[in-house]
Amino acid sequence: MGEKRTDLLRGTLDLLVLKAISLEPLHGVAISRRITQITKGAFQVSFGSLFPSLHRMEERGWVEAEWRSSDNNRRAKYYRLTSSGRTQLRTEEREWNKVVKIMAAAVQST
Amino acid sequence: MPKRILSLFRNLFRKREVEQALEDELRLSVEVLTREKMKQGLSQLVARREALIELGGIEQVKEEVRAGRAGRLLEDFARDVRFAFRALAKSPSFTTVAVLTLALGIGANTAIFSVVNAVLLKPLPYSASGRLVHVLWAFQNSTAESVTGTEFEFWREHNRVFDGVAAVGLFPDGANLRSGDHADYVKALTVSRDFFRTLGVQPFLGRGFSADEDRPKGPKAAILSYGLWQRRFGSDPAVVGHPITLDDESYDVIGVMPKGFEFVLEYAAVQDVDVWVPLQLAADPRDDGHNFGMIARLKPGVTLDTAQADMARVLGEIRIAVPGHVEQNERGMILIPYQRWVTGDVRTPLWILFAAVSLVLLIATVNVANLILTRAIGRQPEVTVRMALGASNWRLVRQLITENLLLALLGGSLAMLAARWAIHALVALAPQSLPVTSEVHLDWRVLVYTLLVAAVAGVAAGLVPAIGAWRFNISESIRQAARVVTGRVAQRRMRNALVVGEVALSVLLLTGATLLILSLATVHRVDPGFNPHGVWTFHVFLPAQKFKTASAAWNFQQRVLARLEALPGAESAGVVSALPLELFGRNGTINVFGDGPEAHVYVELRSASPTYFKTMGMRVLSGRGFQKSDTASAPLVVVVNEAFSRKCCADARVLGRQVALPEGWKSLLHRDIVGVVGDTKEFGLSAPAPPVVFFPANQIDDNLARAFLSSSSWAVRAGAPLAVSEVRRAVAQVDSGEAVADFSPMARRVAESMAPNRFIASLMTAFAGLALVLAAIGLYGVLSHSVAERTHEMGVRMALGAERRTVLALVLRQGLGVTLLGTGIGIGLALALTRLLRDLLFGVAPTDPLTFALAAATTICAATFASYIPAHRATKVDPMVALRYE
Repeated sequence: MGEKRTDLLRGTLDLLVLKAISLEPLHGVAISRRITQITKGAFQVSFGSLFPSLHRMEERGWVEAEWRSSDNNRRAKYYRLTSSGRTQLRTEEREWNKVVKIMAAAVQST
Repeated sequence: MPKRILSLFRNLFRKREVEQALEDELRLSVEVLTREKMKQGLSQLVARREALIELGGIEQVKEEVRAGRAGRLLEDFARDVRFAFRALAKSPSFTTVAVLTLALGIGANTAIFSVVNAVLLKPLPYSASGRLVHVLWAFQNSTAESVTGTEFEFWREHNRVFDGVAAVGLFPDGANLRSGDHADYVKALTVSRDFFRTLGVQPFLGRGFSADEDRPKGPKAAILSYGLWQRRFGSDPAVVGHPITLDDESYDVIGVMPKGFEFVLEYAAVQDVDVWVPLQLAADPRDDGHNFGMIARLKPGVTLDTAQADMARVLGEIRIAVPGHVEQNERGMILIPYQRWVTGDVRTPLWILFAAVSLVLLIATVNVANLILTRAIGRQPEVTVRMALGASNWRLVRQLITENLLLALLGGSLAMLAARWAIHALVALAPQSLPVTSEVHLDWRVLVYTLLVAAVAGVAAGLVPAIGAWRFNISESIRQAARVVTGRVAQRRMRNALVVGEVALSVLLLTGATLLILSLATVHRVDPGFNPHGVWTFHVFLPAQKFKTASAAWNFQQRVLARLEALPGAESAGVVSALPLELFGRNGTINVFGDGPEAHVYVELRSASPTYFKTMGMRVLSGRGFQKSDTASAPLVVVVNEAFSRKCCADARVLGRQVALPEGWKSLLHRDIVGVVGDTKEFGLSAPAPPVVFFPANQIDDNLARAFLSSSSWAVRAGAPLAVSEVRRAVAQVDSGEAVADFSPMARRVAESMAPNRFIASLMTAFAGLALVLAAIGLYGVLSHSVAERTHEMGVRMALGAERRTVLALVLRQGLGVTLLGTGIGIGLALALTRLLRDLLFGVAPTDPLTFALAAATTICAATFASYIPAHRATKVDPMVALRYE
């Protein structure tokens, strides 16, 4: 039971992270901020979850990392979506929409 | 997912780089956060602290990232191994004892397994050896018998199930291989043309025999063994095609067999052959002894049953085709898979030894389990702390298993070294009847086996305590942490149960070993019917081509005997067609005439010089032995032994009766029985003495010469040790072309005949001793621990006035209880299992009460000794110290 819940959350987190970097490459802190922004402050992703998620997806080849200088000439590790990451994002979006529809229908039926 | 595999490699092999990148990323993230907070107006110090809080701690995040990385399991494993190494290194005495115990058990096991592997498991070194069968007669009341030449040829022509059928002569001839003025005694075996093809082994140089070479009076061809080719011809390939001289006849060398080629038949000395020559069988049904070993190769897909049925069909045909070919009491021909046949004699002893050595390993494992159990109790605080810090049960068990596997691996490696040495010793000790000893070595099977055994032993030794010891909850443990917990009942029970098992197994092994030793001692006490001490023996081969008549051979023998008797220290010298314990003597049915009905007795047939009985120290019981006057022109006589008189005639009176050889021997003359000598153990000290009929050597006629005079065994009784060079000189003075072979004291021949018994008895004794020592150590360990646990109790008892004697008895009683229970169980086991030894025992019943008592008493003595040391220590407890301990 507990196991399943983590899986669901992890899946959600991956989806949010992929979504966050779908427009432009971002570094860790910026990804966290972007997620807060696109969820309108509903999700505060802890770095203890965010970084493992990024590294895991990097190992899977969904995201690519690159050391770059930021706006004020500071170095940071930027994460960018790869083409397989983009495919994955689309799949996860579809899955998520399906789950939402099913859950909504299920909740309304009673 | 190749990307993930790449990551795995990077994570494992470029760990530092990966870690550095993570460190940089997190550190820079903290900087980004800090700058953010400073923009909100916080001081740098506060901003940095807030940033770290928001991140959740650099190290913690790192650990989270690491947990998700590829290869995490491997890393955990590596950590477990490192931890295990540290844990073992921290208790060196425990580790040493455990590793040595395991190494001893596993090493002995590996050594015996390597023999089992080579002899029983590995296919014989012939191609598709599973299809080779040995063909034999089965008889009503005796075991299998070899076949006659007629039978062999008939089967070769008429069977429908074999790819190849071959025969070997069962009486390998010695032959004199001559070059220049030097003669070498070599062992020659006659084989039919298809012999090598049937075995599926090709000559390594040259070719096999052709059909032409195998027909009677065909061209003379010879195939050399690799050893002879190396020794005598300097590994010169050019020898093929060249003639060699064997017994004054020229043979063309047509081939050399590959190194290590061996052919073994358990009932005939056909191994260690130097030269193979064609059989050139001229089968004559009238002159037809059971003198051939028949081997056949089943056609692919033909089962043993099908082949067996075909044998019955051919047997029907041979009865019609060869009238008068009658086998008394026969039960038909049988086929036995060759591998099973070859190893038939050693199969049971080897499996018994293997079982015994496995029990030793079991005891060793139990000892190690006990050690680990004791150690586990000592490690409770450590385990408690680790559990409190969140280590899961699974994690702890995994750690424990890793530790034990490491222990097992160390033990196994050491065992492998020990086994290498032990195998050498085993092969050196092994009796000649153990086939293919050259194949015994550490091969991959043995290696895999050892690793498996080590792993199983390690895990088994580790899991027992894992089940018993660490099954408790933390709070209870912490509550009791201040005080050493005295003997948890379950643990103590388990430790006692383990020792009971050890004692039982060692009683079982001791019983087996004692039975074998008693048998050996009984065999030693057997009167062989001759006195082997002070007798030196050797062989000289007298080829029929050179000694064309019996008188020529006897003439040579007489002259050599005179020379031998003239040697300094020599008392007498005799010659016989086969000495006792030599298995190549002739035998056959002999007809007995005289008062009452004619009798037929199956006997051993020997020719002997007049001095033979005296030289061997045999007793003439009635009548007389042979005399010089028993010449070819004098009345023909024989001497028989006691077993013969018992067998031949109801009144056991044989003097005055006559014997005659049956028709096949072409020597039909009646001979008077003039004397009876004592029985001699012809087939081994533990086998009953057979009936023997002795012919005087100088009354052997030309028709019998080949059977009785060509291979001669010589015996010289001398007061001082005889040197082979003296004997060589004596023979060479008569004929420089004759070689002396197999020079050996008779006592050594007797000892060698018992080598298999001695082999298994000494190994069983070693294993039983090992078992006893291990069991005693196990008992000692358990009692020591129990005494240490009860120091406080002992102190109180003594403070309350208990005498030392009482305390001593207390501990001894505990040890004795365990021992008696174990001994009882062991006796039960032995009663059930010693039956398996029946075939190896001589003069001792498998349930011999004395043996059982002896084994039990030995165990109890050893156990009492092992208990006494901790018991004595218990009496030395100082009440003050013990109480202060509280």
